[in-house]
Amino acid sequence: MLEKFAHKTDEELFVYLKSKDRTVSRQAFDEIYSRYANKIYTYCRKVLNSSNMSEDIFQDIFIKFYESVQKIDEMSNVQGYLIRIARNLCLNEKTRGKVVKVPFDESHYEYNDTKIENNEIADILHTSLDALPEDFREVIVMKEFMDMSYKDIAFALDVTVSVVRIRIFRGKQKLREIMTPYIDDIQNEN
Amino acid sequence: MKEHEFLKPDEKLTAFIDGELSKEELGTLFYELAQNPDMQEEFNQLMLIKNTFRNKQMAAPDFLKEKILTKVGLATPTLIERIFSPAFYSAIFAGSWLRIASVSSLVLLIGLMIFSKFNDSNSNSEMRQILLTSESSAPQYPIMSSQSEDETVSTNSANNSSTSRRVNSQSGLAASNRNAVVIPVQDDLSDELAQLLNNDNLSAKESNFRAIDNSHPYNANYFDFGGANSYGVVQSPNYTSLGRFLSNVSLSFKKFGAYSFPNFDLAASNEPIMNNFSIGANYKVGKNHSVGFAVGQENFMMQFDQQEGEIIYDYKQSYNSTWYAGTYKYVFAEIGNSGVIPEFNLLMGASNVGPLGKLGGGIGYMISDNFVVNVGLDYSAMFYPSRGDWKNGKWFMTQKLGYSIGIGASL
Repeated sequence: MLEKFAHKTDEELFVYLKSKDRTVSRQAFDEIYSRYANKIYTYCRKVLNSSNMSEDIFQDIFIKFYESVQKIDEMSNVQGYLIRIARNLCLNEKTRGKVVKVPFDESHYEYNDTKIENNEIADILHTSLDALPEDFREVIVMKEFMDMSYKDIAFALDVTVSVVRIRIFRGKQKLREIMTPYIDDIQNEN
Repeated sequence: MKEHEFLKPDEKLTAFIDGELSKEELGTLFYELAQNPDMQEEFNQLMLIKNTFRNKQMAAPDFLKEKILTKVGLATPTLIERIFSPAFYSAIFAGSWLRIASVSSLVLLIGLMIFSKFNDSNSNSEMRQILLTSESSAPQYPIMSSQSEDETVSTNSANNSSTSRRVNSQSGLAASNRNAVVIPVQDDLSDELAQLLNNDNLSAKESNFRAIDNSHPYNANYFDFGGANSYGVVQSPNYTSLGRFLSNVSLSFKKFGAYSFPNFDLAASNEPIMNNFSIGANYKVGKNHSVGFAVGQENFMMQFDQQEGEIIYDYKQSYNSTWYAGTYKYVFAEIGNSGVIPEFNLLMGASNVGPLGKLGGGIGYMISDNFVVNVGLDYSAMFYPSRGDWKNGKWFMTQKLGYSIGIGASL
């Protein structure tokens, strides 16, 4: 019997993903992919800052995730598990020094605001984000780009919620410090 | 979130913008915010950051998904793969015994058509094996065929078959050494026999044996159950694909060899492709239980008497029958981790001669997760009526005891 997976929880999808029936497994995979693909891809792009490398790592993440699912019996936090895999693979790549930074590519972002002022602020913000220390940048990417809760971020990073809260606070304070002069200039020009 | 009670005001502000502050904490935050212009400025800047980042999630390129699916083996299946997918069968069979019965009937019908056609092509050679001869001590009687009128008399010397005919009489001219039926006959039996020899119409019509005459209404495969020999079915303990139809289906192929009761040296006149073989399909209905069906062909030795007028004929024949049967199989637990699995199987079905049953036991050895080889002992019994008359004919039984070897494959 074909199942409708759109309303299934992550935990239920995990069970279906382990099915020997390839059709069922495929449907479960499709649903999980639709929920988290953009988040994971965004994470890769923001952490690696490389389009080509991000695509390779992105594939590896889902392949490793699928393989892992077949080996374990229970998964309480699919998103967190995916992020953990993504984080490990991305950090490995960075450690190996394979990552070649490329200029920020605006075409991958869905700008809803056509005002030049806001686009300029966005450019500055993204540049500022790249300038943040890794620990701060990572949690802000997870919070702002991936819309994860402090709790989910804590799970993915294997730290406490307090650590996440402090890192986000300090990261945003850094962003404010970097951005404030630019924002003032833009606002004064207009 | 209790820990937020100890946050500094600007830390609390960040948590509030991120939606991580409880309702109780909001009251104190709003009070501080209203009293502190610097905090208001910070709030505006944090909201600007928040709104700028919002909706900036990046879309993964579409081609990446297909690449991933291919690598993990979940790529879009081909048409053939769809047809043979468990989901397809699950969709067909889900909750509908009527549909199961319909599909089973269709499969059975196709099987019957195939084997009926096959039997027709061999009927002549088989029928010639039904012979009536005299005992060695008696005069050489003609050999009568039950086939047709134009295929009547041949001589015993012209035929290697050992089928015999005996005649009981008070004079003891040809006393049967079996069957206590004694019929009075005329004193001058020689004359009768002479007439018998010269009678062109002697060729067996309905008065001769017709037990295997497919044209007879009671013999024409009316009692086909679509049967099965369940030997060689894989029952892997590691088989975890429960609830999927095909995951529980297994196919078996089995070879028979047996000693017959009665037994006599009478070669089979034909060797069909599936002689002493069976093919079956089983469906696992429980941890240890499987049911299914099988089709097979076997030689059965038959010996029976039949009275015609004042004469009792003793018939012997080695008949190759095609049978169809339903099967049940019980699989015991694996012996240790040896891969050896004892099993018991029961088969009930029918052939174009009469109903038959089989009782077997043996062991299977798993050579892989999907293949098993089997050896075992089989007892078979088949009942058949004289003249093929299920209502009025006299019933006889033939039995076999022998070995079986087989191979099974799970899907």
